[in-house]
Order: sequence, then structure tokens, then C-alpha cells
Amino acid sequence: MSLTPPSLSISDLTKRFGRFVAVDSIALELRPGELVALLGPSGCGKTTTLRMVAGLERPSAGEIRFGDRVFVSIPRAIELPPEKRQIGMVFQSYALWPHMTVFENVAYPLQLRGIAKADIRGKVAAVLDLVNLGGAGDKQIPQLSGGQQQRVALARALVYEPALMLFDEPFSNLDTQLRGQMRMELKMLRRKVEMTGLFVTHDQVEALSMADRIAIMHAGRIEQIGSPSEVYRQPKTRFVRDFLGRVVNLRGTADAGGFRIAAGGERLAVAATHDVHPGATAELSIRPEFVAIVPAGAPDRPNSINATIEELLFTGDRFEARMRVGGDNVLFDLPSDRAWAEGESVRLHLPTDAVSIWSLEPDAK
Amino acid sequence: MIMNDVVSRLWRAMPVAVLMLVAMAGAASAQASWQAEWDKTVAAAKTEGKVVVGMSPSTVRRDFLLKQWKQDYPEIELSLSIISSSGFVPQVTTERAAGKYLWDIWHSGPNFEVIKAGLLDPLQPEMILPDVKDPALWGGWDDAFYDDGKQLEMGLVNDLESPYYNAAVIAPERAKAEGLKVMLDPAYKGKIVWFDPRVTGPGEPFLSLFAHVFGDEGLKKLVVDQDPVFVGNMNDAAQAIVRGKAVIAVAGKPQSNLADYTQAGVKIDVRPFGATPETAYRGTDGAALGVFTKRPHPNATRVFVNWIMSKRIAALMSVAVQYDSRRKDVRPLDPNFTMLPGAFYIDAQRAENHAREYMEKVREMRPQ
Amino acid sequence: MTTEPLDAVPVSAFAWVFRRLYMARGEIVAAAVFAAVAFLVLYPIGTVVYLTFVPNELSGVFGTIPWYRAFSEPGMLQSVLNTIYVVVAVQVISMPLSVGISWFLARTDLPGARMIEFCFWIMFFLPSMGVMTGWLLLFDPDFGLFNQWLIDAGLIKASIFNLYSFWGIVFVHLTTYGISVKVMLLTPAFRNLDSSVEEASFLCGANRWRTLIRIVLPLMTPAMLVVLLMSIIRGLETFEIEQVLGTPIKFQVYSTKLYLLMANSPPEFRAAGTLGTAVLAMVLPLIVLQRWASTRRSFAVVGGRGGNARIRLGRWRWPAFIAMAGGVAFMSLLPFLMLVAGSFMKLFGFFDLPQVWTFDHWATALADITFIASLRNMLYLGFGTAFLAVGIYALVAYCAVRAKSRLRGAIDMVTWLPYTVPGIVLSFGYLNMALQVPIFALLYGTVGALILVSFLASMPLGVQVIKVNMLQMGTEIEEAGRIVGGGWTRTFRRIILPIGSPTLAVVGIMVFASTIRSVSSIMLLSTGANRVLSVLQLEFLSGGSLGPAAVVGTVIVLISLAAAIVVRLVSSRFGIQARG
Repeated sequence: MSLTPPSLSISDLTKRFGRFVAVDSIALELRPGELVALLGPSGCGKTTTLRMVAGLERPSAGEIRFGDRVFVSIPRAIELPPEKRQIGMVFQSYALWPHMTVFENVAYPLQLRGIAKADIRGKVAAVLDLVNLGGAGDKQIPQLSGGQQQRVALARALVYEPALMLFDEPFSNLDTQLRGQMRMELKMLRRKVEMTGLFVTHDQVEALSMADRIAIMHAGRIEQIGSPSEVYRQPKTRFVRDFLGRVVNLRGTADAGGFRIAAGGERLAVAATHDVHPGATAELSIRPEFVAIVPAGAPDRPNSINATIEELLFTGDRFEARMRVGGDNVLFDLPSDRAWAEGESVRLHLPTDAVSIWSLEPDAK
Repeated sequence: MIMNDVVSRLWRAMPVAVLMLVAMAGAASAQASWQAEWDKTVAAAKTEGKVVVGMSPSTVRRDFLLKQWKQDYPEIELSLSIISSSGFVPQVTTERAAGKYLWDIWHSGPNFEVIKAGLLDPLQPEMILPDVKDPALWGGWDDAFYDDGKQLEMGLVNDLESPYYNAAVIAPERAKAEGLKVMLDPAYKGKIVWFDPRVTGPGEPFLSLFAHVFGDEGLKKLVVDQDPVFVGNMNDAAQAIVRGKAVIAVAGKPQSNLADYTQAGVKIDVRPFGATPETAYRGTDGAALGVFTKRPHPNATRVFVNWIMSKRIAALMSVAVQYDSRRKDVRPLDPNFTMLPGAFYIDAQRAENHAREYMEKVREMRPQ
Repeated sequence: MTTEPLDAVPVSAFAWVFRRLYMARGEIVAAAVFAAVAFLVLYPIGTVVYLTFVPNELSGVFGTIPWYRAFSEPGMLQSVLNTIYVVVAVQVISMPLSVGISWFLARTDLPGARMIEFCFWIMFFLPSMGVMTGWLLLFDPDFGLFNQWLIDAGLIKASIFNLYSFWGIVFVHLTTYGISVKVMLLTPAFRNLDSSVEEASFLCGANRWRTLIRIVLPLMTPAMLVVLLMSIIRGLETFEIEQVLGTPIKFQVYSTKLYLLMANSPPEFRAAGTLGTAVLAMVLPLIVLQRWASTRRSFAVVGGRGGNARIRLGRWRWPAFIAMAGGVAFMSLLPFLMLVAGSFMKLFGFFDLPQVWTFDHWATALADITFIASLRNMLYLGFGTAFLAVGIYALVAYCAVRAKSRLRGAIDMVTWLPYTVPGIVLSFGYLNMALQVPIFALLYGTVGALILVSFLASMPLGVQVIKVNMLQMGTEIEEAGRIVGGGWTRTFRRIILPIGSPTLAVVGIMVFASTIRSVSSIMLLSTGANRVLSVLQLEFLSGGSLGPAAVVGTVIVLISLAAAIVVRLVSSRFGIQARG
């Protein structure tokens, strides 16, 4: 398999459908061997971006290069057709060819490359083994389950060792359980096969668990690119913050080097982030799992605030609790190793490095 | 000058010499001259190898021509197309506009569109054999030719057509006595089957006859009051008679229409109203003859013309297709059903009989 | 593999333009396809339409303006109304019936569905004249066997069904093209439907009926619109039925009036052309509507996963089979047997003769000097057209569906046009094209010219059917073929054509069958040298030899059937219909 695959670089990429701007001048670089997820709600332009990389859609402007090859450059009037880009792609619908068997589906790309019959046999068998479909070569496509069809699609994309892999919502047609299993398999596969890849998903768990980096798209633009923990812990925009995972927001006022909770009046010592100027109304955001919750009497830590459990739901492995903090109602999970009670007062510890402050002033982004 | 003298003497002697030659040839070898020309033509025709004929629909005539020709001139291919008279003229004019001259013989009609479009050459120069050339055998060229100039399109067949009736219902005596007037008897309202005369075809020429016999008012009475049943094809007319739905049929000749039925053993006695000018019109059975201008196989054309007009073929064809030949030396098939000598018959296909205008009138009388 | 240096020196303007053109090659190909199709279609139609505005010098005193001439024809208005009555009655009955039948054949576990479907093919192959004569044998008011039996059995006093009536005409329309074409085309379309669509609906608690109405039928909109439109146009064009059944009962329709003008001497091509052009004008908005309705959203049902579970009929399975098989036997096998029997009858419909049966007609027809040549020409014509057609129609249909160009819609519309002008009128336009275009003029008088015309005449049917199939095929199926390294042509050949092959097979057979039996479009291009069997049949028919004509008709049907059986065997052998 290829040693150091060259990298993908997208610059100034724009796609307009009539007046609608689907992709708005985005830039993105993939390092060799890196898997990047394009994450966003439907209509954000992520699939269009992927399709432009694949060559299935022509950009209105911009350039896509892969290593020293230009995939497409509108200013230079260069466009490589999809079949010459040497990429692999797993489609949302799998797009398996119903008139071919599993073997034929996987062998077809090799036939196109003029590989000898005997070699094809070996390579197809190897890749089918790789995706745990060994021995299923003679089956017809409609005979397969959804998960198996997914694996065939993967095998078909991998078999010719493309330099770049593209996945378009690859798991969206699977049920939850199968989805988790396939994620795991793909992750393991990456240990055996080095691949540079771009994948599109609207499922944050998929993106967070699989990708080396995530590009979060919104309204045709990339809001933030970073490692999963980066974008998760340090969202740069309100959109990224709200789109990824759960978030607890507490209203209050910013001051120099701190934040005062509205209503309760407690003050936390946190550095203002996101251009919040002192005295501005703002909100403090933190992922609920970073909050340590202790009963009211326990030894206190800095940056802790008071909260009251208003409602408790026992769900077996944990409690879901609605709490009142200052003037806000927020949801937290509580461990089930201890009995909690409705009306109980608790202390919430908010680690400084997990907290961010966002302005609520009208002119704020 | 001696030279001059010799030339002028020879010049003066020329007519004499020519006269002598003609006399010799005429007396001893009149035959030789047309025979030589004929042989030459046949030889050239064989080199051409083909003659292209467009003819009106008639399976029996088509079969006869194909078989007989193959027997007589196996070296010359007879390419015969059944043409629809309606589409043919536009087809040929378009072909010619594109520089394609494909047709030799016109064997349909008479059709004035072919003439108007200037597609035909005079026919008489093509006649070589003496028995073919003789106008007397054909009742004179004025009678045989249908075009105004009497030279382009001639009828080969003497077709006498009369409506026919079921003799089991209408007494032959009455039919004989009253003639076509029987058709106006209210008893036969709805009992007359008629090949749709609003369409060019075998039903429409009768209009000229009826107008001639009944006058315009009578024609209207027949078409409107008698409520004849119009049908779209010959077989429906024959069936209506055979099945007893209709008593009188206005559609072609009973002997050819009902041939299939009588041969198959259906017992039915149908008779034409008569062969008089008051009961029948004269037509050509769509078997007129003409030659195309700029024909691709001029010699084969010549052979075909002389062949089809010859007494032998005229006689054979008359029997095969069951229509009388126009040749006076070919016996009519039924001496009791033939033209009365000297009588004037309506010939619906002559322009002066305005068949087309009657057709338009019927369309207005019977819009549906 | 193309390698572009990262920082290429600025290219010259010429090279840039060249590259830009290269990028636009898809659009250019689509434009070329459009130009070719438009030329082939518009040349003959344009000729006809143009002539309707040229004063008619041939018809002299009888009206010089073709439009005025045609529409002042006595009884024209009533004929137009009659046409509307017939078309509406035929469609109102046939559409729900055909949709129901196709759904049963494609989506349920009905026994013998394949055989029943094949019977509808037989129905399609049967010549309408032959079918009508067959029905007359049964339903003639005076001697129809069916009426007679019932009267003899004392069940009725007078005949109950008279074919010479409005409903008789509607009945023949239904049993010739009305139902068969729709079932032939809708069944594969229903079969393409992913069963998960239905299953999802069942899971939501909808019953089968609601599923069919709310989920399945909307997905089938493009297919249904296309067959409906085709069927309406076909109904406007057919004139033999009314000519035979309508003339005696004073029921003329638009097409019989048109035929009347054509059959005039001199023929009124231009006046007839105006009637043809009027049909075009009436149908065009319907075509636009159809295009709009089938493109405003996605109708893709073949997603590349393919699930094809059939609905279980349970205890209704056998009753449904009996009803379906009985109906189909009545509508296809019965007329077929009558056609074959008729060719052996001394006199068609006369069972009380001393000698009822004979081989004479067969002997006459087969011994005809031109029979063998006509048969050979017909096979050249049929196979030539079918093979040419399937490949090129698929390409044109592809452009109409997938071309990334505004021409997509234009291609779609243009392919409809040859259907909108009755063949008998359009034949004159074809003649002009065949003679005036230099390349085609070389073909004139050969079977090649007939192939060209037949190819155009069948194009609407072929392209539209394939188009519907392609609308059902998800785009990703094709894109996957490109991504894995196949160029467009390879993907078209290896992926698109094979997946569409059940439909292509149906189209091939339909083109073959309708080409070898049709006369109207090729009549004017027919000469002695390229005579085909259908022309020979017409020669027999117009020459009054009904027996031999029936024989030739039977031979044509049998050849169509043989071809259809071969196609079915071959396609099932290679598993093309595995999904069905």
C-alpha cells in the first residue's frame, strides 16, 4: 500500500446552484494519512464539497489539488474526470451494481485497470477478507443484508488502493447497533490500510470517533477545523458549540478575569474568551461531563457554584437531573452510585480550562 | 465544275433512290423492319435487365403479370410495386426533385395528377408491334386515351360496372324492368351497402352514373333518404350481401367480389342490374398504361408496353383477372354482359364527368 | 495519468479556451446529440408543417388554403368531438385497469405473472385489423358466434353486444393498444420499485390500498404520464377501427377525416398536414406538462441496494390468478388463435361451409414470387431498426435525463415529436428527408431508408420508456462506475445498459414488432426492391386477397412472438431479470 500518500488541498472552493451558494469559498488541507470529517446539518454544503473532490460536481470557482496533481482548477480551466482521480468512494446508497455479484462488483475496478484475471481473484479475495466478507463473492447483491452491502461498497472502494478515500454518509442507512460495529471495523481497518480520507456525516458521534480532524460546516462555510477534542472542547463559534454534543449555558455578566452568574451572583474566575469585553452580558458554556457534582457538604474546590436538584429521573445506570443554577434550568447526568434527592443542594465544580464565555450583546457573533 | 455537276445529279436522283428503297422494304420486308427494331429493342432490354412498374392494387393482375413475364422474359426482372394512387405522385415528384428517376411504367389510373405533374411521355412512339400500333383494334385512340391530347395514358381494360342485387329478394324481372330505380324503393332503405363514396375508391365512380340516371335530386334521395350503409372495404360489402344484411351492393363487380364466397361453396344468387348505359358505367379497373419521362430502362419499357398490349397477353390477362380487354380482337368474357355497340356509357374516370364534385356533395350530405 | 505541475506557468489564451472547451465536452456532446435528433425529427415535421401554409396548387378549385380546406370539411366538428369521447372513454377505463394489472404482476406473488405479462406482449403484437376481425366473429350483431350461442341457449333474445357501436369501438381500442402497451411498460417500472418503499409504508400502519395510492403511485408518476400520453396520441392516430366499425354507423373521427383527405385524388397532403399539425399543437402542452411533472422531484427507486420482496396475496392468490389469466386469455390468446385459425379458413368466419379449412391461403402467400424477398427485407428492417434503436435511444434517453445542460429538457421534448404527427401524414416528410439529405439519398430504395424512417417513427416510444427507466435508476449507481475508474463510455456500456437491460429488451421487442408490422410511415419509401412483408400484406389486402393477407399477418405476428421468446429466454439465461 502507498507509503506517503500526497495530501489534498482545497482552496477558495465555491459552488453555486443558480443563485443559491451551496459552498462558499472554503479552504481545507488534508495531511497524508489523515481522515477528516466534514460535519454539519443537512444543506450545509458538505456533500457538495465531497462531490466536487470526487469530480461528480464542477465547482463554480476555486481549486482542488491532490499532491502534485490538479483535480480541478476553474481559473486554469483544468478538470480531471472522476475516473482519473484515482480515488475511492463509499456512497450513502452504497451504489452497488445489482446486475453483478459481490465478486463482480469488487473485481470491476480491477478489470478497468487491466489487471490479470488471476491477480484479480487474489486481490478481491483479500479485500473481501479484510471487510469480513470472505466467501461471499458469489452472492447476489439483493441477497445481502444492509451491513454486508456496506462492506461490499467498502471493499469495492478499497480494492484498487486509491490514494484518497471519500465516504458520503457511509453509515446512515444502518441501524444504530450495526453503525457502532461498522465504525469500530473501519477504525481497525485504518490500522491495516493507510488511507487519506474525507468523509461526510451529519452524525457527530461518527465524526468525533472516527476522524483525525473535523471540519464543521454551516451554510456553505467551514466554521472550524480541528481535532475532535479541540472542536469539542474549544468551539470557536456558537454554532460549533451548540452543534457538537451537549452544552450547559449559564447567563451572567463578564468582568475583567471573571464571570458573575446572573441571579445567584456567584463569581467564577475565568479568562474571558471570544472577545467578551468586561461588563457585557454573556453566557458561560461548559460540556456537562466536565462538571464535577458533589453534595453540598463535601470539601469544596475553587470555581464551584451552588445548584439545586429540581427533578430526578432514574434511568438505571445514572440519574438525569434538572437543576436550577442561578436563574437557569440545566440538565446534568448524576452517577447512580449514590442516592440523590429532589430539592437537594449540590456544588458544581467548573474546571477553568473547560469553560468558555460568550457575549450575549446584540452585536456579538 | 465537274464536282458540282456530279453532286447535283446525285441530289436529283435521291428521291428516286429513297422511293425505290422504301418500295422494296415495304413490299418484301415490312415485317423485317419492325422485327429488326423489335429484336434490337429486346436485346437492349435484356442488357438493361430490369423494368420498374407501379401498378394499382390488384392481386390477381399482379400475380398474372409477375408469372407471365417471368415465363416470357426471364432475363429481364419485373420489379412491380403496388402503389397507392394518392401517395404516388408526391412520391415521384419528390424523387425527381432529388434527381432520382426510378420508374418506367405507370399501370394504374387513369390519373390526371400524373399527367398534370408532367410525369408521362407519349405512349404511341413506344409501340412497335403492328397489332399493338393499330388504333382500330383499340376502338380508336380518341376512345382509348384518357388525357386531353390523347397520347399519354390509355385504358387497357373495358370494365363495365353495375350495382348488383340479391336475386332471392329482388325479382330479376323487376330489376330488368325498373333498372336502377329499384334502388330508390323505400323498401330497401338501409339495405344498400356502398363502398364509401366519400373516399376515392370503387364506390365513388358510381356517383357519376347515379347522377346521370337519377339527376341531382335523385342522387340526394339515394344518399340521404335511402340511408345506404357505407363500408370501408370490399369484403364488408360482400359479407353484407352474403349474410343478408344488405340487398343491393354498390361496390365493384359481383364475380370478383364474391368469388371467394362462391368458390368456398356459399350459395347466393347475385346479379348486376344490367349492362345498359342506364345501369352501368364504364371504367378501366385501374389498369391504364403510360410510360414515365426519363425512364431508366427505355428499352425494357418498350418491350413491356408491346408485351402487355399484345393480343396474346390481353387475352390471357382478361381470363386471369376477369375483366374484358379493350382489344376488339379479344372475346368478351360474358357476351351477355358487354357494352351495347354504339351506345354512350358514362365513363366515370373521364374528367368531364365531375366524379370529384359529386364526391364533395356526398360528403356534405353525409358528414359522418 | 495526467500530471499538472503545481505552479504551472500562465497558459496562453488559446490553450485556456481549448481547455475550457475540453471541460465542456459533456455539454458539447449533449448539444451534438440534440442537434442530430432535432435535425432528424424536425426535418420531416418541418416539411409537413411548412406545406400546410403553402397554397395547394394541386387541388385547384377545392380550397386553396390547406387550413381552411381541412377544417371546412363537412362534419369536422362532430368528428373531433367523437374523437374526444373515444379517447376519454378508452383512457378512463384502461388507465386504472392497467395500473392495477401491472402492480399485481410486478409486486405480488401472483402465480404465473411472467406468463401473463407475456400475454400482454402478444396483445401488443397482434395487428389491430386482425383483432377487430376476430372480435367481429364473436360480436357481430347478426352472426357473431358469442351472440348466437347466447341466443341459441335461450339466455337472451337479441344480441347483447354489438361491435358496431361506440362501446364496440372503445372495446377494440382497449384490446389492441389501450391496455397492452401500458402493462408492458408499467410492469418493469413497478418491478424496479424498491420494496422498502412499500415496507416502510406498511410499518407506518398504512394498508395496501393506501400504500398503493399514497406511496407507490406518486413514485410511478413519470412512467404513468408517459404511457398515458403515448396511449392518447396513439388513440388520436388510429383510424382503421373507426373506418371499419364507425363508417356503417355514421361515426367518424378526426383520424378518419384525415385519412379521407389523404385518400382523395388528388391527395390532399397539405390539408391532411394541417390536421396532423393540429394534433401536434394539441399534444405539445401535454408533453410540456409531462416533462414538468416528471422532473420536478426525484423518482429514483433503484438505489443500488435493491430489495424486491413481493406482497403476499394469501388466500386471494388463486382467485386473482384465475381472474387475471382468464382476462388475458380472452384478450390476447383468443384473438391470436382466431388470427391463426382465420388464415386456415376457406372463408373467414364461415363455419357452416362444406369445407371449412384450407391450406390454400398459405400456399398462395408462401408461393408468391416476392414472399421470400419481402421476408428477408423485413428481417433486415426489423433487426436493423431494433439494434440501431436500442443503442441510440438509450444514449438519447440518457442525455434527456442526465445531461448537465439546459438542453436536457429540449432533447426530451424533441424526441416526442415524431409521435405527435400521424404517420400517414409524416410519411411525406420522411420521403422528403430521405431524398433531400445527400447521405440518406444514397440509401433511397434500399432497406436502409426504411430503417432510418422506422428508427425515427419508434423513437418517442423507445426513448421515453428508457428515459422513465433511467429516472428510476439512482445517479450514484452511475457515479460509482466513474469513481472506480471507468470512463463515461465504459460506465454506460458496463453499468447503465446492463442494469437497464430488461427495459431495453422490452423496447427492442416493441420496436421490432411495431416496425415489421407498420406500413404508414414507410409506405412512400417502399419500392419493389425494398418491399417488406407488411407492404406485401397491404398489397394482398388492397388487391382483395384477404386469405393470403391474413397469412402474411400471421407470419408477422409469429416472427414477433419468436423474437420476443428468444429475448426472454436470453435475458433470463444471463440473469438480467434477476431482480424481477
